[in-house]
Amino acid sequence: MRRAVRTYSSMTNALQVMIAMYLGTVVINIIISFIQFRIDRNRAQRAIFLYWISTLIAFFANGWFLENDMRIVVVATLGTFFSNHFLGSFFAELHDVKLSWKKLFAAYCVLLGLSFALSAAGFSFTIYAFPGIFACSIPLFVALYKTIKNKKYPLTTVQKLFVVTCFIFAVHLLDWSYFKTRPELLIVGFWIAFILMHTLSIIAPFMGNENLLQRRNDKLSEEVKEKALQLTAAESQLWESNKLASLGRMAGGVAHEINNPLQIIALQANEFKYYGKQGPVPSELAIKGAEKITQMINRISKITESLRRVARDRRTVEKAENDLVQIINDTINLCQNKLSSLKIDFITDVPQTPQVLNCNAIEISQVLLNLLNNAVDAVEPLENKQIKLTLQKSDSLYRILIDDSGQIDPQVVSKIMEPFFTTKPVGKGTGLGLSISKSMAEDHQGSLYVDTSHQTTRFVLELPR
Amino acid sequence: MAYKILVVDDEKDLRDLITLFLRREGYDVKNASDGEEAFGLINQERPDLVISDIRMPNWDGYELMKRVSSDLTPPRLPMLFISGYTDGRESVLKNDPNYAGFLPKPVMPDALVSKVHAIQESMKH
Repeated sequence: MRRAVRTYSSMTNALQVMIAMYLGTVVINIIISFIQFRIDRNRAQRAIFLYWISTLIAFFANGWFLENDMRIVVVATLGTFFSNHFLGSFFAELHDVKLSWKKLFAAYCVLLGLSFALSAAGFSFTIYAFPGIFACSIPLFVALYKTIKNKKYPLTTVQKLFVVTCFIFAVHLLDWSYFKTRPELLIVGFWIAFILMHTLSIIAPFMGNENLLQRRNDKLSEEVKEKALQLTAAESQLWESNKLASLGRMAGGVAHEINNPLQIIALQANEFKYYGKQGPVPSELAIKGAEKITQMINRISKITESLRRVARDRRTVEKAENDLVQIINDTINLCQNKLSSLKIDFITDVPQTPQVLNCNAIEISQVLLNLLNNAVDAVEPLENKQIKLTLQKSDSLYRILIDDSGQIDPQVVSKIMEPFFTTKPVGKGTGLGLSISKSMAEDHQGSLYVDTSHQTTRFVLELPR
Repeated sequence: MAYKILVVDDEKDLRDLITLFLRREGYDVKNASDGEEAFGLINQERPDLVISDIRMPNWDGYELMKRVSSDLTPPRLPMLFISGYTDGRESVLKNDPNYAGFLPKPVMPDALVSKVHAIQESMKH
């Protein structure tokens, strides 16, 4: 319809005014898109600038060659092909899809050749023009098809509007022969084209912004995800080092618990050797000695078994049904010697029957180990060194109380769970034990807090059943 | 007169086995279950050597050494420590004139005897 301009030169002045406005719109858009391209310097803006340039070319082409219908097909569709190609690449750029310019141009040439063949065979304009007109829209259709297939950036509302606009543009040449006989319809058609053009000039930059925002958002959320992963990894590492630190502080007790029985076994072996050299070892002596060795082996395996259960990497352990009493006993086994060597009066009030809880055993024992370590540090300088561990059970939760005979400064209580907060001298505490313990309790939908109503220090670990 | 050794360890089986072993090696051996009891025996028996554990209830190895060096007259008494656990504080022991050595548990009986011999020899000079 754009190309109707010169043929109907007898048209009213109103039409000429509209043509001027049309041309003006294109020129203004060329200028605006050029400025935008200079500012943003991205490929989408360049594509939209080239689109307006090729629209201008198509506009003049439409006017110049109207006397010969086949030339219209060649020149006008060539201009439209490029304008559609640039629109398509604009779309492709926004949606991160790739277009092969060479293939599209080859397809255009083939279909244009078909138009020539049909024209030579004497078909009417509507028929022979169709392949050429269709060909010039191919870049846009391919771009749209690829965009819709690309699930990463689905079409936004503005883009759907754009698709409709493009579609109307793509097919508007098909009614050419009809317009030829009904020139009065050109005014209506012109307005449609004019409005579409304006819509496009508004939509295209807006659409670009919308998509760029979306992509920036995606990039940001990807970065956030990556950082979160790094944080989780760092937290895991912190956790492991905290565990190793607290295990290390109990390690003295563990080494003692292993080396003492080993010493007895070594001496007992020497006894056997001594008696063996004299002749047959008296059976009573052999049995008593062997029993002693068995006892010692049991003692060692009790501690290595506990160590094995507690010192595993928590990431390799899933939450499962665990016996809370067993977890408590394993932890105490590792601390027992340290407690007794420091002459701490350690009391437990734990049921002897298994108490099943769905939990990560390593994490719970780590929390207990941290709490016991803290209690040991707190009572060590005191005259009255007492630590008590109690396991209470209610309908909805298990409550583990760790009492020690020390006192917590009330001003410290509010900060005590914060990371890196420590009252211990440099090298003794990382300031992470309690904050890690608290987050572990929360991972189990439980809580860890200081019971300030209790006279001496009382830490409470609550775990829902 | 036989060389007198006092064995101090809170673990009864261990204490008994070392005592038995050293007696067979020809030493006159007494034993005690903690530092405090040991100190009483040291005053009574005047041993030539103390073989002591470090971590014990009541007085531990450190306390025993401190008492020996400050309260005993004459204060010269070699002390050999054996312990299943090292926490870095052992270096404190080395500064004491009565320190005669440290052996980590488990100590093989032969190694213990050679150590005792070595201490015996060094005391002669």
